[in-house]
Amino acid sequence: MILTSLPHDALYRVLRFLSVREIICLRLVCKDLRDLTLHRVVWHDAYTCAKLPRPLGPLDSHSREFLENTLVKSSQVGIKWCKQALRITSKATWFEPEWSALQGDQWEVVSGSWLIIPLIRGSDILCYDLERGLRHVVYHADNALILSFRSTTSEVADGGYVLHAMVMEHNRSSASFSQKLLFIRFSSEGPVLEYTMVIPVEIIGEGMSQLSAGQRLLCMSDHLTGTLNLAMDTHSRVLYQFPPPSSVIDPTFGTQETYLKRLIATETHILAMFTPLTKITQISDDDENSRQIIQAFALPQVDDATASSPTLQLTHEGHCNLDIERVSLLCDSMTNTVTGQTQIKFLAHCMRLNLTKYFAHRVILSPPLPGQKLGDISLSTEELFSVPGYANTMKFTTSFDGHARGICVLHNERDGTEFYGFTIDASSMNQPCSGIVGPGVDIKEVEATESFPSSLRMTWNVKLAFDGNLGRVCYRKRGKEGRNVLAIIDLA
Amino acid sequence: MVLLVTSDNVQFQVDKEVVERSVLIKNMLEDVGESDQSIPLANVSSSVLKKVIEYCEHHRGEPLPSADADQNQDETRKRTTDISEWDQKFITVDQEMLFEIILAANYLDIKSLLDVGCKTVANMIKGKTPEEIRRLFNIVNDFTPEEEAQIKKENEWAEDR
Repeated sequence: MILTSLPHDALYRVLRFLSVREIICLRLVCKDLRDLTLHRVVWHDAYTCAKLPRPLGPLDSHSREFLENTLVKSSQVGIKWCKQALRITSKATWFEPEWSALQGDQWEVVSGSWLIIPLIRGSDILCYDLERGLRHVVYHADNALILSFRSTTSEVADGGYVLHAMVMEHNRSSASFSQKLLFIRFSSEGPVLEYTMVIPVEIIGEGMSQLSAGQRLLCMSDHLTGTLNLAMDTHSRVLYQFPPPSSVIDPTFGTQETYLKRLIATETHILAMFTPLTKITQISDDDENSRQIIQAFALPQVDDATASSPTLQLTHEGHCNLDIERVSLLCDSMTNTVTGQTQIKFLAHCMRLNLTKYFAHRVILSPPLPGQKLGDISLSTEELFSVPGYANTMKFTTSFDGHARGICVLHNERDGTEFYGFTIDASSMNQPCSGIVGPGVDIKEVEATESFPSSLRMTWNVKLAFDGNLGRVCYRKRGKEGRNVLAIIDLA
Repeated sequence: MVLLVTSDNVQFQVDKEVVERSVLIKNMLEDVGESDQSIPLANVSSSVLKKVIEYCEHHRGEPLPSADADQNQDETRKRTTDISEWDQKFITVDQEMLFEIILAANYLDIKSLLDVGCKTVANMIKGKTPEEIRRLFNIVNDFTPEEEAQIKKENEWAEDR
């Protein structure tokens, strides 16, 4: 009896335990095995666990060729990136919008393909298709001026992206202000304004600072008051309020004011991280001072959602000792159907206060089970990489292809000359520290031919996109005659 | 006790609890109800069944994977090929026996054993070149030189390391 005489069912099962590359290797062995690897089920199966972004439409509607090609391309990038430094493939291209609209932070690049520019003190939101060079007006404010624009992008379950944008408008005739939430959907067809929603001013406050969206939940915070102020179920379009802040989480926090540092929406939860105000003014490496309060909120049970002003449920609260300066990217959240436990895993960049090292952690956060006594939310951290000697001049940005492999760019804010990229493979998130692609070398220098213009220092705004194949970096640059242009660099 | 009869006509007396790790036999027993009838296993030889029973005996009392476990596993599946120590020792057999065990596990519908077998085969394949895989499994290269060159060209990245 030989390998190829095993029934196909059993051989498919063998293939499940092989990587894309190993499956391709089998194709070169003999005709029987080649034919086996040409079955759709093999690639469907591999795609299901690859955690690549879901293509448009159901997975079943895609051909074997599509699934295989996508997986192969993604694997090729992974292999290449572990062997050599990221390379700039296309020479940096400059994209010049019709006027210097790239002001401050109020622009966005969605998945490396669409540039969104609101015309501040104008009435339109423009969308440039960077691939095809098309210009769309995706939103027009009737008789009103756009005063501010904040946005966040999330992936849609059935493929594509949605940009959620919070827009503040000034109505010219009534001299009143209003806040609108826009939902702009991107598909292969281009951008479409799906719907808009007026958000009552009393909910939103004035200093909207953070907007975060998961596949279902959207949340927002007020920068001025440091409070949580809006959550929305984007499926049912129901607005939710946060419960009043809990009185005392921990005695050491009870007497001091906290500051909302980070708000993250996941598939199942909204996470809020608070830090005591003293911490912001006293820079020290004291453990006590670096404690963060973490609260997790979930949508209420279905039957509660009909209430007139539905409120999110505070499901967990606790604290952690990790100094999460800024959680850069949420990798994964999953609920164990048996225990009901939600594990939220994210990649954080953690800037230690001694400012000598810059490093990233992967944090696995397992809130206690519902009904359990509240205690510390246990945070286990793993150091993924560290860069010595960069202090706080670095900006850290990540983009993941769905969830698995990602690119990260570190650039030096001080003189704009340092530029690093590296990959992270988060596909085996349950295994400690197996996340780094590459044989022990985690940081790869990207050719630093491009020097960031000084104007970039003020913006802190570099947009990244990685689709499993191509990494793209977009940033604002000062062009001729002082005009703003968008620089696009492709990495492979 | 259940009486199993192998393809080479050897009889095995096995505890019901042990043998019910096989979904096939479990269903058969449910169908016939209480009976002293023997169960013929025309596709399994005595040497293989001995191994299979050894496996089931060792894992006696462990919860059986539920019917939809396969699906759930898909969601959280970490393509891990880790095999427990005992299973590792158990499955250290020659190739012929390994394939027979996989075949029997597939036929008898014993998911966990099938996985142990398939993981073992996957581990043998991992990290090898096509030529090494051929040699390991005694597979004849039945491509014409032209075909081989063509496939190699299309998939050269996979060999490059």
